[in-house]
Amino acid sequence: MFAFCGYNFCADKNALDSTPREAKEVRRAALSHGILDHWHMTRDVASAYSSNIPTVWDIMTVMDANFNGNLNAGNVDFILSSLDGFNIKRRKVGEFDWVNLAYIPVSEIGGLDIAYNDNLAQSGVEYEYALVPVAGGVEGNYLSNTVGAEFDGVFICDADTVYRFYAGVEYGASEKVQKIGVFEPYGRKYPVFVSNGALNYEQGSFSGTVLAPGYLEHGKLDRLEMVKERKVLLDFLTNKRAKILKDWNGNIWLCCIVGNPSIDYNQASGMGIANVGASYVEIGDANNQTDLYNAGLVSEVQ
Amino acid sequence: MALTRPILLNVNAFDAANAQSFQFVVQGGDQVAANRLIVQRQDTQQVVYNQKIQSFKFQHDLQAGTLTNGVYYQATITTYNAAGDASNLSTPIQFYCYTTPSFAFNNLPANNLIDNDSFDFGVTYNQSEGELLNSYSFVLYDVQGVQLSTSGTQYVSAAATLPINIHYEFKGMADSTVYYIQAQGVTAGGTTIQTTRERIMVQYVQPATFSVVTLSNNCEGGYITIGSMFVSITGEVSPGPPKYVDDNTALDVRGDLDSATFSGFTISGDFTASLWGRDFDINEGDIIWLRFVPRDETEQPLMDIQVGYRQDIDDANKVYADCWVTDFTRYHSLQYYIYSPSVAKPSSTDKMQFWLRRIGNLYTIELHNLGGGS
Repeated sequence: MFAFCGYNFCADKNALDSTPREAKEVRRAALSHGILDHWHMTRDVASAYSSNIPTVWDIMTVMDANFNGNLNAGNVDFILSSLDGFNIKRRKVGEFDWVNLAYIPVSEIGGLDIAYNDNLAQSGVEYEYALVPVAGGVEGNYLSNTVGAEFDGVFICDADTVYRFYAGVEYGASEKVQKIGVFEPYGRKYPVFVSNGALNYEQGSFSGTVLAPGYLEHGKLDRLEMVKERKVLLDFLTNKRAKILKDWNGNIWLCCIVGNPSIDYNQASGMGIANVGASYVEIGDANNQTDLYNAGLVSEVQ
Repeated sequence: MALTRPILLNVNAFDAANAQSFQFVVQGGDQVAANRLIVQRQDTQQVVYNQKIQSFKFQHDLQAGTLTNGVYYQATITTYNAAGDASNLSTPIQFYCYTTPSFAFNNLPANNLIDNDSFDFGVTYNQSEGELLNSYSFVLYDVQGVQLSTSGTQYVSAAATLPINIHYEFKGMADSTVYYIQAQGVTAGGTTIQTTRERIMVQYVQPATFSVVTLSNNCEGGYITIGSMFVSITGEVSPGPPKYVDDNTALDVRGDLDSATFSGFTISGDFTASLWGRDFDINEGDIIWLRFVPRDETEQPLMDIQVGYRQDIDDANKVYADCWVTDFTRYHSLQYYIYSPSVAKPSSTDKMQFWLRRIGNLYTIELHNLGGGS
């Protein structure tokens, strides 16, 4: 069918009906005068007619109400006004225990749009994330999905900040620290091995070239920007807060920066380019809820 | 050298229908060659058991059926050396005999098939002599019997009465995965009990082809972005409260002034709308009324789409649906009218479907009698 001067030419009973102007947005639907079993609206206009009641919500669905004792027409069984907030949880696929990353109060959510960045994820791991509505201190059903984490570079980050090293990245030799005493008493050929502590952590160092923002895209070295970038990075490294150091190999350490971060200037560039390095000491398990909470990287203990 | 006073170790409440071992400790003195266990009722001091056995073991086994359930007893032990000399009586211990309580899951679904990522496991405890449950815990195992999660020790209220129903919800179980679930408990008398370890299978009813949780891997940023695609729309019924019928599976809005209204959503452009129901009023008001309104809803609406249900005037056994599209932005509110082919008139129990599609500024209306009524 086509329109010509406001009329259509198909010799049907509506052939001379004028076509209305295309309107913009439907924002209200009223249903009446019957016993309603199911109501469904979708943006899909390609599928053929079907008498089957849809059983799943898909990307095209606008609303779906089954009237099973409620008037809910959305894809969640809660409304914003009844919630306190959402817990954001994460676990590795195949494991059972969740790590509670954050709690977002409803007051901080615009409508029901949640956006949260998990800077603490480990590269090469498949994760399952869950959004859990909380009402009256009680958690509702877990709404979850999975994703494989794959990062390119070496990252030093905390809950709010991520710094990426990509050029000139190096690790110094790292150590696995343990406290062992070797006691050499008289009269024995061999010493006595004494271990009374549980210390077992890693320590090491890393360094990388600090480049101006956008250098990898346009190759332009802005000296002033590099100076600013180094200052921001050094302030971040010396803020006395726990961090996550992770890389594209899947290494991940929950650590603190110790000692004095160093700046090694490249003479050939007129001291414009510099490598920043620092030493770290591991302070916990990067996938343990309690360690992350004690490190201040998550706000929930469980 | 003489015999020292033995120390009879405490025993928890046990079922008199089972054998019970009484153990004792002897420190120093002659070697024990025999022992005598005396069991008396605590209330009447009546001796119900008094036997001496020849044994070097620091143990006296009481045969099943010797005592009676529901009775509070005390027991003492005396030891003898090879010469037949007796020790002093031990300090008595007290214990109950209680029938083995029942402790089993009460709400596992058919075939132990769970269709969700979470399940609230329920267990019922009962005991014929009235012994209460003191504490319990639920434990979830993987298919190899490795413990995955536990509720921890939970305590029962002192005011609880038999039978006692306890429950705990495990969340986050994975799809297509086998688990084992078991509950353990300790009675007021100190007896440890547990349910059988039940094998359960988790099989989600609806595989997640669409998820309200969106995840995005930021490769160069080193982080994962978690977002939501929640849609929360709740209708209103006027006048309220809503009347649900058909065993709470349908909404009755047959009254002249009754309607269910949905707002808080926006759809622009093309759409398909379907309404399933029954017993619609013929030649009454709109079955479906879609309103296009401006952003500022105090202003005049832009367009209405109204679907009605009509009697075919040429055939009393047929009905059809029609659709009026009123464009308020046109002079004299231009109207567009289409109607569906007629279908057999349904009974009040036959399922009907109104189907409306809009593509561009062209509409299609269909009415289907899906039958199924009695």
